[in-house]
Formats: sequence, C-alpha cells, structure tokens
Amino acid sequence: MKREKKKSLSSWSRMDKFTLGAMLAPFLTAFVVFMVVPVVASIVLSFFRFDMLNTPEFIGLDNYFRMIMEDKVFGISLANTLYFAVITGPVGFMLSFILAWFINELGPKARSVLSFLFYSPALMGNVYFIWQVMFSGDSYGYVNSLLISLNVISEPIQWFSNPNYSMTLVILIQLWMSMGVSFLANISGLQNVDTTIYEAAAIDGVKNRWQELWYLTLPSMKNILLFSAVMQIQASFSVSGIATTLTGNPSVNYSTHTIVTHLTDVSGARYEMGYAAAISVFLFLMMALARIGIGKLLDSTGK
Amino acid sequence: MFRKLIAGSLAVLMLLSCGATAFATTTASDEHMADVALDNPTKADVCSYREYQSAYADVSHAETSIEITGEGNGADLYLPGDSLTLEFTVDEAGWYEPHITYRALAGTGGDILFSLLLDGELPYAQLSNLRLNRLWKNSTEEFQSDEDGNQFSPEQEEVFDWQTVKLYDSEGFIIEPLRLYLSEGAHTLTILLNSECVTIGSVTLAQPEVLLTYEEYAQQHQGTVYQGETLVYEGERADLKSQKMYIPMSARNDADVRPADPFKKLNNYIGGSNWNGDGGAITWNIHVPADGWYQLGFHFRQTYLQESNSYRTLLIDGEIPFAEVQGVPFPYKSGWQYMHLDQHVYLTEGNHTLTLRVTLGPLADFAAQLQSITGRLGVIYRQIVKITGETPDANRDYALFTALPDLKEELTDISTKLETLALLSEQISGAQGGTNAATLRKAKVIIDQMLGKTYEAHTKLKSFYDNYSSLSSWLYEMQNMALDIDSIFLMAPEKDFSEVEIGLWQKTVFTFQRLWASFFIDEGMEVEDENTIVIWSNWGRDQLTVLENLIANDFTPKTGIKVEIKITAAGAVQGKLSGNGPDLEINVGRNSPVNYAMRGILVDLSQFEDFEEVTGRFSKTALVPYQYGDGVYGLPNTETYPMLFVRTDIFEELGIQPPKTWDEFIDCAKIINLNNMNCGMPQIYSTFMAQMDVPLYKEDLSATNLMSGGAVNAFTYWTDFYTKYGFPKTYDFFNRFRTGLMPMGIADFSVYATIRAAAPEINGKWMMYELPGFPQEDGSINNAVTGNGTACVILNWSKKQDQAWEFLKWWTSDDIQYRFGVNLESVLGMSGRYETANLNALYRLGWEAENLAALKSQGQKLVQMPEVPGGYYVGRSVQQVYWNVVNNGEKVEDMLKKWVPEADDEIRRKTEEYAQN
Repeated sequence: MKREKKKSLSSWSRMDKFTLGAMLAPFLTAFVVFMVVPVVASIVLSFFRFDMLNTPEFIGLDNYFRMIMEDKVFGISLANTLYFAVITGPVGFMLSFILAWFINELGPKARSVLSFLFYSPALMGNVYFIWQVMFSGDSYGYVNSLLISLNVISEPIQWFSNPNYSMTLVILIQLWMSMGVSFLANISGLQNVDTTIYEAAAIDGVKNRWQELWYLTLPSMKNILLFSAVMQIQASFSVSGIATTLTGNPSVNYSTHTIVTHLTDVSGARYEMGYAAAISVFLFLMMALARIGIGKLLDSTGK
Repeated sequence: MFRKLIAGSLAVLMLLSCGATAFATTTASDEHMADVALDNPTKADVCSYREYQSAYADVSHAETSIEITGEGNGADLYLPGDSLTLEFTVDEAGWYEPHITYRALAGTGGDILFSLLLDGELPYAQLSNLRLNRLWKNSTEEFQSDEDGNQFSPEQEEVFDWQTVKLYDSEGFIIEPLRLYLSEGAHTLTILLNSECVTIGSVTLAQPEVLLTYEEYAQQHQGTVYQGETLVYEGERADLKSQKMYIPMSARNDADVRPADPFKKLNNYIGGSNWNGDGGAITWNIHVPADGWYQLGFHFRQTYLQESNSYRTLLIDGEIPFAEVQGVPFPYKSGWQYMHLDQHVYLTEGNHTLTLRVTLGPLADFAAQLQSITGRLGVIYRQIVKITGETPDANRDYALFTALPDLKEELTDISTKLETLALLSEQISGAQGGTNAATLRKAKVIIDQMLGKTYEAHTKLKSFYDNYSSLSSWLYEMQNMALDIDSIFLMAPEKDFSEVEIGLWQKTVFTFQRLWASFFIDEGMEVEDENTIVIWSNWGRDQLTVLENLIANDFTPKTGIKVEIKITAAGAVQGKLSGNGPDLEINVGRNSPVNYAMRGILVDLSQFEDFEEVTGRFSKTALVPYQYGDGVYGLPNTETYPMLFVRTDIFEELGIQPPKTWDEFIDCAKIINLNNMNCGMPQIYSTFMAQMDVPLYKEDLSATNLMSGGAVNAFTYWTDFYTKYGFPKTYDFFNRFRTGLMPMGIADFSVYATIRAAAPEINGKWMMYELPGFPQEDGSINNAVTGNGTACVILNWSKKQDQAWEFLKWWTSDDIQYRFGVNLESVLGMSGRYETANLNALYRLGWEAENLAALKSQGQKLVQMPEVPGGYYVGRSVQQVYWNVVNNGEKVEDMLKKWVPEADDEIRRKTEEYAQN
C-alpha cells in the first residue's frame, strides 16, 4: 500500500469519517460514560443535598459555603493536603528522577534488578502494611523494641496515634510507595534520549554532566517529566488510603486527615453526597491548577 | 540446685503418697452406691502415670477380671461435681485395666470429662482428666442436594448408644490404655464428673491386655486368602464419629477423589483439619463376603504435617488386632495418595466395624518430654523476667545465677535433654538434621551460651524467649494429626491400586471440565420468584454456607419459602440506588439499623404481631441500640461483651486472688507490674460509665452526656490505667496472655474460644471471670458491662416483608441459633465460635462450667447503649480525647470539652436533617 500524507479532517471522505468514527466509538463511549459523565454529574451534584436514599434537593452554593466557611475539619484537611503535596510532590519527583539518572548509568543487568526493586512497592499494592507491623505501638513492635533495647526510649511510642510522628511517617511511606511509577517512567525517558545529541553538544562546547543534564537530557524528556510530575501530583493530592489504614479515621487531632480522607468520610460514613461532590470539585480544580503550574515550570528547563 | 532439690523431694513424696493411697484400706459405707461431694484434687499434688508405673514395676498383671455393676440401668451424672462411687473387693493384687460402660446423655455436645478416684484419692495425674466421647452420625441416610445437584453436608445427630471403652490419657501422651494397681481387699472407685452428662452402666477391672505381635496374630488365624473383587468403602459414608465436627466434605478439584464431578459439589471425603486429636475416632460398618486374609488400602491426603506422619490406631470390631497397627503412619505428600497397610488382616464373613482413631503413635513419648521441657522453660523465663524485666539492660549485671541458685542446674539438665530429644527426633523421622532436630538444637545453643557466659546470660533473654515460643508452638503443631480419608479398600493381597487408580488422561479431562465449569456455571445462583426472599450479608463464605445448609434442611421444607443469599460488601444503600436491593440484611454493624431507619428505608419490626415473643430470646437491653423513635428496626444477630481473663497459675505463684472490685484490680495490677508483667485494658469507657450510672447520651438523645461531671470521672478513672498505672496502650492480648506476660486482662468473651482452640498448652491454667466493679452502699458490686454486636434488618421496599419476618423469627430461634453455632464449629473448629445474641443458644455452645457461670452472670448485667443519628461521631471524639490524654498528658476534662462538641454538632445536625422523616 502506498503511504499517504496526513490529511486535514475536512478533506476526508464521508466513508473515511465514518470509519474514523467507528474506530473511535468504543473508546469515546467508555470515555464519556466513565470520565465525562461522572465529572459533570459531580459538578451538578455539588449544588444539591443528596443522601443516596431520598430525592436530591437543590440548595445552590450552600455546600461550597459550608466547605469554606463552616467546616473546620475541611480547613485542616486542606492544609494537610497542601503540606503533603508540597513535600511528597517535588521531593518524590526529584528523588525519582535522580535515582533514575543514577541507575541509568549502570549496566543493563544491575539496572533491571534495581529498577525492579524500586518499582516493587508500587507493584505490590497493599504492601505498606509492613510499616504498620514495624511501627506498631506495641512494645514488641520492631522499631519500638529496637529503640527500647538501645535504651533510646523506655515507653513504646504510639507512632501512628501520636500527631508528632504520624504525618512524617505517612509522608515517608507515601514517598516509598509512589516513587515506583515515576521512577520507571523516568528510566524509560532517559533511555529514549537520542545519544547523538550528546556528541553534537560536546562539539558545541558542553563541558560537564550538569550542563548535559540541564541543556540536553531534561529538555529532551520533557514529556516524560510532565507525565511523572502529573502522576506524582495526582498521587500526593489524592493520598488517603495509606493514611487512613495506618493512622485510623479520624487520625488523632486530624493530623493526617487529607481532602480525600474527608471526602470519603463525608460520603461513606455520613452519606452526604452533595457535600462530598463539592469537595471533589474543589480537589479537581486544585489538581488542574497544579498541573498548569508544573507545565509552566517544566517549560523553563534548558532556558 | 534448690529447684532440683524441691523437685526431687516432691517426686519422692508423690511416690510415697501414691503407694500409701493404693495400700490404704477403706471404711465400708452402708450404701452400695453413694453420691458423695468430692473436691477434684488438682494435678499438681499427684504423680504422673509413668512415676506410678515405676513405683509398681515389679507387680504382675492380674489374672482375673472384676466386674462391678451399678444398680438398675446405671447411674445418671448430670452436673459437674456429680459422682458415683462403686465398692468392690480385690482377691488378687496386681495391675488392672478399668473399662467403663456408659451412655451419653443429651448435653451441649462436648466430650464427657471426668476424674477417676481410687479410694477417694487420685492415684496419678492422668486420671483427673479422662474423656468419654459421644457418638454422632449423619442425620440423613442419603446426602441431600439442591436443585442443581450440589450436595449439602449433612447435619450431625447424636446417637445415644451404650459403649464400653478403655481409658486413655486425654493428652494422648500415653498410647496404651491406663491401668491401676489394686491391692488385695476392699476398695472404692469414684467417677467424678467434670463436664457434660452421662449414664454410667458398669465398670470392669479387666485383666490388662497384651497386644499380639503380627507374627502371633498370623499364627492364630490360619485361613485362606481373599481372592474376590476389591471392596471399596467411601470415607464420607462413615457410620459413627466421636465428634460432631467430623462431617462429610467435598474436594472438588481432584478427579481421583470418589465420587468426583466437575460440575457439582459432591461429598467425597471425611476428616480435614478438625480430625486432629482428642482421640477422635471415625467408624465404618463393613460387610465382608468371605472368611480370609484381606489387604487394607487407603486413599488419603496428608498435607498437614511436613516431615512427619499423621498417626491412626486401626481397630477392627473395636479391638486393636495386633500391635503393629497401634500407630499406622500416614506420610506427608502434597495431594492425594494410595497406601497399603504392610500387614494383612483376617476377617470372617459378615458384618464388622473398622475404626481409625487419632493417636500420637511413636511421637507420644517425644511430645510428653518436649512438653515437660517447654513447661520448665516457661517457668525459667518468668523467673528471669521477674528480675530483669522484658527487655534487660545489656550493660547491667543482674547476677542471674546468684539470684536463681537452681538456674544453672536446671539449664544444664534441659540442655542435655534437648540433645537427647534432637537425636530421638532424627530417629523418628529417619533423617539426619531435619528442621525439627534443628529447632531443638537451636534452643540448646542459646541455653549453652547462657551457661557459658553467666554474666551476660540476660542478654540472651530475647533469643531464649523466641526459642521457647517456637518450641511451644512446634509442640502444639506436631500434635495436630489431621488427615483426610477418601476411601478404604479391602482387597486381595498381591493386588495393587491399578484397577482403582484414575489415569492421567481422565485427570486432564477433569481439570478442563472444572475450568469450563468455573466460567459457565454460576454457583449459588437461583431463579427468583415471588416465593424467594433475598438476603444480603457481608459474612464469610463459611458462615453463609452453613446458613444455606440450615435453610435447605429446615426453613424451606417447613415454610415453603425459598431463600437466596448473596455475599456482598454492599449495603442496603447501594441496593436502593441500584434498584435491586435485598429483602433482608443480616449481620449488619451496630449503628446501621438506626442509620438506615432515620433515612426511612427499614421496616419497624415492632409492628409485627408476634414481635413480643421474639424479644424474649435476647438479653434485656439487646434491642436498645436498634430503637429509633418509637420503632425497633433490627433484631440482634450477635452480641458480645468483655470479660476478665486471668492466668490462675501465675496468680497462684504471685499469691493473689482474681479481683472483684476495681480497687482489687489495681492492687493485682501493681503486683503484676512489680514482677515485670503487665495487664490488659481495652477501650471500655462506656463500661465504666455504665458502672458509675452515667448514661452515654442525654435523656432525649439530643446530645452526648460526655461533658457531665460523672462522665469526666468515669473517663478519668479509665485513662488513669494508662497514665497512672502504665498499662500498655497497644498490645496483642492473645499472645501475651498465652505466654504469661499479661496474666490479667479484659477482653471480649470471644477470646475464650480462641484460647481454648489455639493455646491448649495453658488449658487449666486460666479462667474467665466477671468484670470487676464498684462496691455500692448496700454491699453489692456494680459491675455492669456494655457490649457490641450485629443485627438483622428488613428493608421497607421489600414486597415480601411477612416472609422476611418469618425468616427472622426462624433464624433467631433457640434451636436454629444453636444448630448454626454447632454446625459452624464443625466447619471452622472451636475458634469459629458464633457469639449468638440468643442467650439460650449461646450457653449451650459448650463452655466449661465455671466459665459459663461467669459468662451468664455477667450477661445479666449487660447494658446496651442506645444508638443515635450521627452517633458514629461519638467514638471518634472519644478516640481523640483518649490519645490526647494518654500520649500528650492533656487533662481529660479539657479534652472532653474540646472534642465532644464535634460529636454533639453532628448528632444535632443529623437529628434535625432527618426530623421530618
């Protein structure tokens, strides 16, 4: 068959358009049903009071007022989420990139072994339960018993029930969990960088690895970076399951209460779906903003 | 040294007392049979059977038997403490073997436990805990099946037949029947009941039987060899079982387990992990076509004990034919296997019975020795902990060997014994350096290290403890003699299994059929019609399978109503949203009924005419949590409450009594803490509130009562345990209780079954008591308790509400709740105990008498708290207060004021929101 040049949509024949439509239909249907409809539905729902059992009742912006003006716990959860995102987002992102950069220098065998090791926490899903065992509040918990035998402490520390420790621990565990995906993306991004440009750049006067990294590597894997950054933001904004499992719901003094925890709580335990929808719309906007910010930031690489 | 001396002198004393007992003459009483109130002597004062044996080692076996018959049809023993004393005269001194003829009386279905006293005293320890089993059979001849042909496991029905049995050590450490030395003259023999009820017919003091060797057996039976067809007896068709939990089971993925069907669930084997000890016996009736020598074959599965065998004693017509089958080994292999018995048996034409009875076989003696060693290690560990605490300071010299002068000798002796046991273990398993021997040697290494560097011995405490607990758990595991039996074959000698074995091709086809079936046969789907009610539940599959069986056997035949059960994590709310909700939900959480009721999706059960009849089945306040407004929206399914668990052996060591008041509780806790152990206190603030007569909610249920002065007092009293008395905030009660590190603790009564099932090594060393309380002015003690539980609800969109109510009435009835509990335990074992809210059923589920009394009495004082809209916030606020108080040293009152308004707000909001409904 002859290779054809790309044509603009308007120049396509009817038949071609039909074919195009038919090919896209399965995906489009799924996309609309499972993505567009729920998003639109939750925006609509956020103006209603709805307990899943009785007919929804329109209440205008009440849910939003309540969220911003009345709900103290929402304020705490927003602060926690931002704190969480600011730390795990950038740190996780940079850590995963630096690790990928180092490991990429190794031979193929060591690289695949290490990649697997770093990716495995993400692969294994609920593996973070081991942290619960390690940081158990029992005096026989691994960390407590170690610290007691080293005479660092005399009483077991309630790691996940003490606000002084719980947030830090959850952040560390979240970092450990979420690094895998963006790390893997970064590795593949690094391997796809065209090696010839390094030679060309060396001739053009690039002197060291840092310049290589900033002027060549980073710009040429901008898309991958964007992907891993988005993954990282999404992960750090929507953290909840790990925190809830480890520190309970609600955590002591709401120390690890995040927006998603709050959302699950409002919808799951209190059946206030309208209010939960309002919170999710808020979260959605926050994520979108962050995504735009990151795009801007990445654009500046190599400049 | 000191310990050794004590032990030695004790042993001598015991021997003397044994001798004295046996030779003592009794004063004859006027009545032939007398019910005497006797205290059951504790084991600790009495010698063991082995010591007793060696004391009379030179005495010969009796040449005659003495039969002692009671009056009439025998004596009925109903209650623990009931006894029967029989008088008799011995003409010829010697060893006798007591045989007892008895018939079980209807009780709770557990084994009958009793002590046997000679002349009013216990000759040796093993006689204090003897076991008589009941007999069970399938309640129906043929297996019942559902519409698709899937068979149900039949319910078990007790058979009240007379049995004559020899007496065996109930721990299984002595495999031969227990014997008694009887001197010449008049004696009395007393049977003292410890649990369950029984009729004792007669007792025979028989001449001890010496088992034939196979050679002797072969010479006695000179006969022809069977040449006919292979006779197959299906395991699942067993005729009598000694425990109700030996039920026919279904292995679905194996083509060679007869009968096998890729598409249907058929009962095809018996045994399982429940057939693992307690002398559990299964009997098959067999019919033999001709006199002759037969070869015995088994198709079985033993995937339970690696590196070891599961042992069974083979009995034909209730007798062991020859010594070699006293412990038939069933070796380990993954999957099913065929096995021939090395020896052949001689059978006459006609009907016989064939019995397989659990035995420890050659492991018995080994296990007995290991048990004595772990017991001693446990004592040593607790002695050391008393001095050093659980985590000794490595840099300190505790001078352990000076503080415990007998420690050195004791450890040296144990070290030697461990090596002997390791050698014995290798001998039994026939392999050098197996993991079992390695476990023993590892423990020995640690002990040797402690002996080698006496000044650093305490640094090894952690390893010492780890080894001690791994030996203990291994001791427990090695006695787990589980086995599955698919078929038993009687075949011509010389034949092999080729005619019954299934070929590779058939197996492959079967596997593919199973795979096919897994896609296309929707298990458990039934056609809905107007006479089918749908139940949703988030219960486990085992629970629901047992329930389905009960429904098919009882409910549907009686009422004509069919029931479809769906396992789902989804609640009624999702059901309503999907428009496909159930008629009923069972086992929903404590706060669901009120939560659903306020949203108007539940049926008020109190509107049914016969509602009042049903409520009498539960505790007085059981319905309180399910009331909303004037209605009652749920029936209790399960109900639990905390009890006080005490390690009586450690309390004895410390010289303290189980506490009845909180002051006593605190005194005990102080002594326990001083000895470097600790106590367990769960989050039971509402119990403290109940005991101080402070309600959890205001009278009109509009807000909590947690900020009142009374609540602050109750709360402070409770948190003081953590802040003042240093109780651990997080702990694993079962493990600490088991090892003795937490000899006193409050825990849910369901822990009773867990300990009984999973920690048999502390049997008899612990008790469950009522909670402590506060003394009142009139001298009584207020030890009220609050509980938890689950409920059943009917959804208001159901068009079959009357049928659903019919089901609830059936389901919560005494008989069904009891049968459900029993059947569940036959599947899951004792740890699957069902905490039914139906009190009559709960108390029948098999508890030790004294523990049951405590449980009942505490149940009388159960006060269930009401549930209110938004009430789920109360627990949260309490958590916040609790952690802030115990972790950050905040004041209880301040914290209550800070956090409780949050809960009150939620209650107010929800109450207002749903006020119109």
